Amino acid sequence: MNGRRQQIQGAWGRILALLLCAALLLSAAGCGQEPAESRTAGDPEPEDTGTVATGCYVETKLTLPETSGYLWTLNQVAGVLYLQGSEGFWKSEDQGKSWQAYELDSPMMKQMESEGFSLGNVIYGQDGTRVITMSKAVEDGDRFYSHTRYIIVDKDGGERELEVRLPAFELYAGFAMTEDTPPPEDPDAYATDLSRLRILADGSLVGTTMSNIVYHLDQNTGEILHTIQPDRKSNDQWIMGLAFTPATMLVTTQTSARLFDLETWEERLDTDAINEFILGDAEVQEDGSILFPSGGESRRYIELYSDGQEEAYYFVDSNGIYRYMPGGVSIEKLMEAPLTSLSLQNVSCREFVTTENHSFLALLATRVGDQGQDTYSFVRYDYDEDAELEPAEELKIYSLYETETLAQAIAVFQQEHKDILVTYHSGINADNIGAVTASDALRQLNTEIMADKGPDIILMDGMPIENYQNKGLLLDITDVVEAEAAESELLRNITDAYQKDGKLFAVPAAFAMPIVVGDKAHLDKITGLESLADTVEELRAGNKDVSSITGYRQYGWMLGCTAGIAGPGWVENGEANWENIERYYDILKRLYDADNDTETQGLDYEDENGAYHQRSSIWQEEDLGLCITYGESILELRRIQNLDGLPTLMAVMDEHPEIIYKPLEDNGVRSFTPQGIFGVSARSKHPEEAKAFVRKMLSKDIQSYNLSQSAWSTLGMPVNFSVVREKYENNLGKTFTQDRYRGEDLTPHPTAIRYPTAEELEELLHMMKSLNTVDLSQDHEINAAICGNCSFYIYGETTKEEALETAREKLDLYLAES
Amino acid sequence: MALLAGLAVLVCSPAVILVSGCIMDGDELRLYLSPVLLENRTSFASWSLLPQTPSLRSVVELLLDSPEFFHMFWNSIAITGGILLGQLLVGAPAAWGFARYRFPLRGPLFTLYLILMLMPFQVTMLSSYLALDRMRLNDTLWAVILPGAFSTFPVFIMYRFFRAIPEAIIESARLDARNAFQIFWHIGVPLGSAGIVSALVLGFLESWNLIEQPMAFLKNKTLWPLSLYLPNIGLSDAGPAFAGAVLTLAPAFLVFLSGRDHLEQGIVASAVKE
Amino acid sequence: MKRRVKRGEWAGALFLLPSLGGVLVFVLVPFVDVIRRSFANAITEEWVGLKNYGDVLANPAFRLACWNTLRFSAVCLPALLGISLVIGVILQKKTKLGDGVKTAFLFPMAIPVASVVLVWRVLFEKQGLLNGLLNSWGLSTVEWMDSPTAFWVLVGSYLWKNLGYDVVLWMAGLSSISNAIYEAARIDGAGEWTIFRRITLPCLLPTLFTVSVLSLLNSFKVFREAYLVAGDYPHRSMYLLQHLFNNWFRDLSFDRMAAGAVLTAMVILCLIGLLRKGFDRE
Repeated sequence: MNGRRQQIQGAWGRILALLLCAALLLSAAGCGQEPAESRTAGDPEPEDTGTVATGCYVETKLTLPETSGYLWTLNQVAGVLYLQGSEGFWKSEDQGKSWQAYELDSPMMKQMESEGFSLGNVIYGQDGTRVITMSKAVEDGDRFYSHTRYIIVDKDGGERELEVRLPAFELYAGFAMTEDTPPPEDPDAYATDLSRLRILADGSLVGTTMSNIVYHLDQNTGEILHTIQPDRKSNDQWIMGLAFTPATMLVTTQTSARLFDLETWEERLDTDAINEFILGDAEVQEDGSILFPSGGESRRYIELYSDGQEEAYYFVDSNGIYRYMPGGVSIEKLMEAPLTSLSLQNVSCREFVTTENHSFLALLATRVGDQGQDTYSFVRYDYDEDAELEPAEELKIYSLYETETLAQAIAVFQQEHKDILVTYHSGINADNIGAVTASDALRQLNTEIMADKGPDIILMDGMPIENYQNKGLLLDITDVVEAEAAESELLRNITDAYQKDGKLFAVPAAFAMPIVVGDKAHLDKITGLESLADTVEELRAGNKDVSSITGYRQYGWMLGCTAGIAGPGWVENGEANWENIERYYDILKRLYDADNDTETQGLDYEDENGAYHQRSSIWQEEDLGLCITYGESILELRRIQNLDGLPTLMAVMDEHPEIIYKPLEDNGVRSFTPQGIFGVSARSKHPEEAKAFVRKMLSKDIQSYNLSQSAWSTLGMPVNFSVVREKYENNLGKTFTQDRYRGEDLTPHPTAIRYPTAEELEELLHMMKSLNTVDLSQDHEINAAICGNCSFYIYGETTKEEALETAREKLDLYLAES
Repeated sequence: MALLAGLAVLVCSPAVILVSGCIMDGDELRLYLSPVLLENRTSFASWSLLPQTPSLRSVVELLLDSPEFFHMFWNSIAITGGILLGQLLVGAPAAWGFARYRFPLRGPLFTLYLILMLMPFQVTMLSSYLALDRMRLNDTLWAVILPGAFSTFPVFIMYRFFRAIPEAIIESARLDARNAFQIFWHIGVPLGSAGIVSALVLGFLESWNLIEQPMAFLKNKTLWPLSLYLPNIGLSDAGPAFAGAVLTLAPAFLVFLSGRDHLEQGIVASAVKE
Repeated sequence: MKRRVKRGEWAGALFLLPSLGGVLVFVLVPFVDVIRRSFANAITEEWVGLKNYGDVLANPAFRLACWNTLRFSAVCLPALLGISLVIGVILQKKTKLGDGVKTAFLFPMAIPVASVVLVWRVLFEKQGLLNGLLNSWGLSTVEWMDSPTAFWVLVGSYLWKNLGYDVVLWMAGLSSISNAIYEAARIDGAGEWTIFRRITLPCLLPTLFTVSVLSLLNSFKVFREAYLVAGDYPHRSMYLLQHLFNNWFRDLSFDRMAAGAVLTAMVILCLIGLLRKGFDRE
């Protein structure tokens, strides 16, 4: 018996050992598939393996020619820089220190100009040849297509025309083309338009068309030597970059890269590294669409460059400059952006070139304001061994939930304080492999704070602010607010929301405000949440066929607009007021039921997971008021986070004078949701810098940048009203028209827009100043307890008593703990 | 008896659910689980023991496509291995000392060990963090390994077995003029091996499952062990979640199987000689 | 009874030293720090004497958590010990099936918490599998996690995990009672029940100590599953001391947490003392 037992034991033991070995082998194999990591190389020479990285790239500003037009392309040939813009050409023979205008001296071009062609681009080859493209619109029935002619200028100035014939379908290719697009009227018509034209080392030409096909042409005959079809791996086909080295050619889209061997014109498959790099954080979904993390707004640009002579490709994005050797297993990071202009959110790199000693010259464009034009700057990046890669001191910024809204502030602050490194961490972020809840993150934060390793600046949205305040963990930053208030118009009712004993420890830099838009006759009746519910029910009784009464029938939306107002009454003096909570449940249920009691399902749909989505045709923040004028709704209940909708609303109010807007209130309580709440840790080792950062968040600089962001990436409405005035000061009362995309098929509707007048701005200011109560649903636990359970009741899955009971459990526990 | 057998089957059912979920196709999983995971719920979740469309895709995806899974696997191995080794090197002698010798303060020390064993983690979390921080061990695997290695639980288990060794054998060894360490090494360890193994098995199961310690002490996510692989189950993640659960279960199961007899023997030996 | 410590006995202390050193550093020092914190303010760390203890004892959440934890232990431990004893007695006859059953019962111990949580979610959610089953049998659904049933779910989870372990322990104890005693009793005409009461039970007393301590230890571990499934604020009936400590930690109330922990430790100390007096034959 014992022996047999031992046999079995032995067998099991062996199996176990075998399995463990297998696991070890597998994991060793798995480790080899590690994702390509970008290493920061302090040393430009990649072959260097042992030296410790010191030094970093330093940015110096160079000059640009005086021009008020656009700047398009920058090229470098034999050390001479050529700049092309909407107003002419310039060249610089001293690496950008000075520029001279020059004329394109081309008889053929002048000839074509007289025939009605206009200049497109000038493309430079490394041996001095150039290609000039000239285009003209050609009529084709009631459509137009572009006809392009190519002038090839060799290095001695001799010119000839190259005739390019592309297949006819390219005439109307691109996203405007469908299956029903009729062919051109002229059966012999052919396409000629190529973009991203490049001259390869052997003189042949490469270019792409609107259908994302790459053509390789012979420079003498114009014959199509090779074509490369898009590879359809995802929905993202649009070619963003095209560059080549002596042996290879790289074609990039926003999310992928394809490498081709220039001898065989075959696609190379060893491109995992570069593909991972370009894809970045985005994910390709099963249906081919691309999912960008945290909204499409944050999609980074990547500029691609190769001088055609070195066997390397260079990339620039807002994080730095990288180098890729064709077929390499990793992308090398040559330069870190944080201490340079590249890291600023409103700066993008339009063009860049490499020069001797691995220095870089870059043409940067800074987006200024909404309608303003970009301003340009030309910079040079040199490697300086003595410069410090990272400052010794660190200023840590922490937020519970990951947010991109601080990126610009951090970049600007960093530029202004080069002696301290600004870092940002979030408690819960996409990196989490395991599910980290808000509580876990808070516990971790608390542990760090107690160990004196905590952050210097805390963005406290979603955190129990009173706790941190009351326990003395935050620094008194009243002086910061007072300083900024002396220089700009701050909404003190908001910045002082968390005032304690006359001092400010947590200051919101933004806020959200619930408003209701509609006919004055209706709005006058709405003085509180009950009257809101009453009015909605009344209106619904009289308008069964309207899709929605409040504009957006979804529960989450209604909760968002009204919870803030009811919130203050939920917890009083540490005790839950169940009457108020029940009252809120009632109101929400009435609102939801009344609004959804419609015969028109409108644009509701069910997605592939079976989840039911309710939708009106409100698409953007700037559509404020439009769902009323389009008859989709009678009122509009909104919680506005930025002012994009104001101009549209003004125009709507012009056309329909009976329509007004006002903040939603509840018997005198006008609440607002503070957002972007900043505090400085009392244990911070850099209190002055930390306070300076908070000041920055309140300053016009960052507040106006924030105001220009869309609803997804904004902190909220600015507390600095001066930036609101500045935004409109040049355009008070002006009208113009913009396209709004509405409906299932996104058809554009030209819509009248009018900027507010000075009086209207004062009205707005008055409304904002009248906000008097902080929305309590900010507190994560209270929110979870009350609002979280409400949905079951609203959807009819439980009775009100059950939902209240569950909420009671959680809330009472939470309140009992303190 | 039959009742017992039925109960036994019931007891194993959760594991069966896990395994069957693991080999299910993503769409089928979604179908079964959507009532549980979506907001607007009207129907109930369902299950089928034998999937209609068996597919190992989730498992494969996890094994081959997610390098972080391997990192975590290795981290788990490192942590568990470190802890077990530590428990062996440090705990076994301690248990021997408690079991066979009577030195001053033995009683109170043993009680102390007992109390410390029973303390829940939350209580000492902050203080441990601060202590580890002062030792600069935070954010390294040692922060999890060392406290685990010095855990008093295996001492308690091994103690029982060492006590079970008859005094006669020890006496005869002493007569052979062996010193204390040799007695421990040549007699104590072999005779108490059942206890040591069972302590190791239990230790393995405990370390493989550590959740609070890594979460608290390891900030760097690349150091996290497998036990923290808990994606908040969204529908797209249900497949990998099940696969991950099963893959985390597998080594524990193997150890359990191979150590089971030892475990039983050990437990038997312990309880017997009291 | 005074005993001179024999010289050789000091060797024991030497064996203990490495472990003691580590325990001191990694376990005891933090615990002492906790004791210190229980007498001080959470952040400023000034001495406040017994204020925290007062706060804690008066705190309703603490009372609830204590009550729940006590209730849980009071329900679970006897249940576990009793059921596992019965199973152990039944499985005494060594059969192949019995062996398999024993393994099956031991198995849940090996399942990692993460995996368990997954299954629990699928089973016990409002729209989960169990409710689906009930529904298909025409019965009304049960709110597993959001009602007092949650307590029983927790108990069930605990029993599920630890049955096997305790069964093995009991069987070990049972097998130590020599058959001779049983035979003698049967010859004397004693009934099964009398045998059980007069012979089996008393002989099992030492085992009872081991089993109780280990089961108590495991009862604290049930927090993990509860937390992962139900989060910070589960149903009232499931709200244990550890939930409270966890939340106090999140809210920076380290002082109260420390005081609560010390109180808990003292209670456990008493418990262990009682158990030892009662059952441990050293």
